[in-house]
Amino acid sequence: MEKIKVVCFRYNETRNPKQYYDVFEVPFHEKISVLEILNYISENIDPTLAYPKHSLCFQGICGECTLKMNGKPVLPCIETPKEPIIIMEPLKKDKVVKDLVSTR
Amino acid sequence: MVEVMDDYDVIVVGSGGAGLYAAVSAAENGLNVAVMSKGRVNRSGATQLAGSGIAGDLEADGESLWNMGFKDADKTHTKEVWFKNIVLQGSYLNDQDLTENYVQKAEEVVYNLLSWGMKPYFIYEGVALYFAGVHILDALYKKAKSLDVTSISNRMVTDIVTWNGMVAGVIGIDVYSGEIFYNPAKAVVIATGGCQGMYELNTGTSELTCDGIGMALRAGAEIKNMEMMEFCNDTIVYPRKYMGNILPYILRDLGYGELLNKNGEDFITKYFDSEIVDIALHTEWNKELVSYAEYKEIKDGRGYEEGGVMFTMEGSQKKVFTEFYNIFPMIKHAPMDMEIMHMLEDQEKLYVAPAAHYIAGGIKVDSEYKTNVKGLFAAGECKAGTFGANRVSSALTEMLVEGLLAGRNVSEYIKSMDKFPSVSKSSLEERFEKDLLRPFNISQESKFKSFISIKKDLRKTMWNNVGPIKNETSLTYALNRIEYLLKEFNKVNISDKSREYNPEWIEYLNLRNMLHMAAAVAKSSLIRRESRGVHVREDYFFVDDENWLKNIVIYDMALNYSFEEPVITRINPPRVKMTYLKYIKTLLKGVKGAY
Repeated sequence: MEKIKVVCFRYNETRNPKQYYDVFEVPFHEKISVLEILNYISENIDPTLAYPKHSLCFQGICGECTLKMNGKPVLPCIETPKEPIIIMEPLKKDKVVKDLVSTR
Repeated sequence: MVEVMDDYDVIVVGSGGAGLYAAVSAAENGLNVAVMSKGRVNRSGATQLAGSGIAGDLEADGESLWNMGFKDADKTHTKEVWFKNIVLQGSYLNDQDLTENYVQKAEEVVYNLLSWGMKPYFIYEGVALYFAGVHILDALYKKAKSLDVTSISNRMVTDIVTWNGMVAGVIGIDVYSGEIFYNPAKAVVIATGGCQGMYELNTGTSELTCDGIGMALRAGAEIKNMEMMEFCNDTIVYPRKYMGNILPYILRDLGYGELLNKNGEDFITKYFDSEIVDIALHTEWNKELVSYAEYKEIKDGRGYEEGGVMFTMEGSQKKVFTEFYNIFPMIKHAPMDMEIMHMLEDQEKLYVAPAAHYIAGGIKVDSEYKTNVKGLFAAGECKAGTFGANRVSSALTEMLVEGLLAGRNVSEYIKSMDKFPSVSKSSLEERFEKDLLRPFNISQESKFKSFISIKKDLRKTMWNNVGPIKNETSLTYALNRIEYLLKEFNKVNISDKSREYNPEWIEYLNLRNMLHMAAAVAKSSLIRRESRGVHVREDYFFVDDENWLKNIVIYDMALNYSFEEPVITRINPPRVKMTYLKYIKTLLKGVKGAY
């Protein structure tokens, strides 16, 4: 597959009190990480997409980037998607702050 | 609005090894301490990445380690020998009082870690104990909790608040809620690590954006030797998923694998004679010398389109890998390192280049880790002086020793003072809040559509012009470009106006420090018209003690500067002028062993 469809949970009380999903198309290759995919969206499509990024080790050690992909917790920095569509959600939807960012 | 929150005796900014140890040490001296971390306390900063997360080396002198019962320790490696090694290889730019602290107190921090139950994997070259960085953090964090240190995570401290030249507390943003908080404090220890983030390829974590050094300068503290930016050779640049990982560096340090340019040539011998090649392969100068060769190859078009030179372990037998896994058993718990090892086992190739790794310059402190602002201290990588022009000894030891001592000295300072300043809420709003919220209220048009595009431009500028090899043309270009970026930076606005976890705002706050500090790195590099340690000028490819055995001290946000002699306690520098490579040979003749 050359492109991957990324379905992203969107929500922020101040910005828009409704929860919804956005779909982004991102170029794909077999060694791309989920974090690179989110960075691509943020840098090229939508700079307002919030996902954990302010304090990350990039190496699978700190655990701070943890998100849900297709319903399961993953470390985006080391996770490479295997399906053509992925659904990205915050780790804890009931504690969501904005989009894919939730508090612990 | 600025919320006024709890006050503390001391606030430690940063929660890597230096910050946590400073907090422990201040609390042990009876102070009410808070540690604030941009990320999660105990899982932010570069400490966790030491040695690719699996092989962090904590050094002390071999004689002390022997006395602690390590029978593999090198007894002949005394404190005197170690001190001389560090000062000579620091090219005499060290503040020897700080080097003295480092050498004298290493034993104590190693002893403490062991007494808290930590066990090293093994001892290397008779002087270094190997730990995983996270184990050191966990031990310190546990100790801090037992001493009732308050931990505040995801608090991005943006400014040190002062009044009449004295510390009055810190201003910070809760990254999740976007609220601005002020915490009064009698003293502050900055322990925020390095500036790796100004380069795209770097070996650090995402929060290392030169915050501490930037906010110290804004608060009136001096900074120095910002040109001493060290690069780590053999850092993965492709596949980009592994960008910044230094496993190939560790493998090559142990003699595994080879480097090839686009034409399939082993290129290091092209640049150096056999003596320097030997130094490049077997001493801590590998970081400068191999980075030099890699940067040359890449800049001259002999790198791969993936963005670096090739690292391959083709032809290595299975037992080579088994041997490596046995040396570093921790690697089984490091998923990214294991993925990379499996690639190498499958004979796949990696592409590597020099990565921004460590800055030997930073906040100027005295032998008690005090800055020139009353009540403001700095410890670890963010401060300058311990290693002069080149760090050839453990940064883990540095952070622990300096955290320990800064924490103690803060307590002495507070006891010696009877009055501390207080500031009003309205003055805080006037002095700080406006600038923090500025990009939410901008109506100008910029050529840059977002802060990320400014960051990308800065990173490209730094790599192309302020890299492992610099010259007057490249540095002048970089300074002009950064000046232009600073102008544009003031015009960029934030499209999402809600303050909760706002990635554009975080980028703004990072760049607020990083752009100015990148200019400081470029400017200091331009001022120093010689090569020394990690600072390499191809147009001044020699060491010139007569003119340049001195520190470049920047004292205001306009980057005005002055010169200062390094502090000399025991070793008088010879005054020489010779080519950079010959100078390295001469230094190494004066030291014992490679460490």
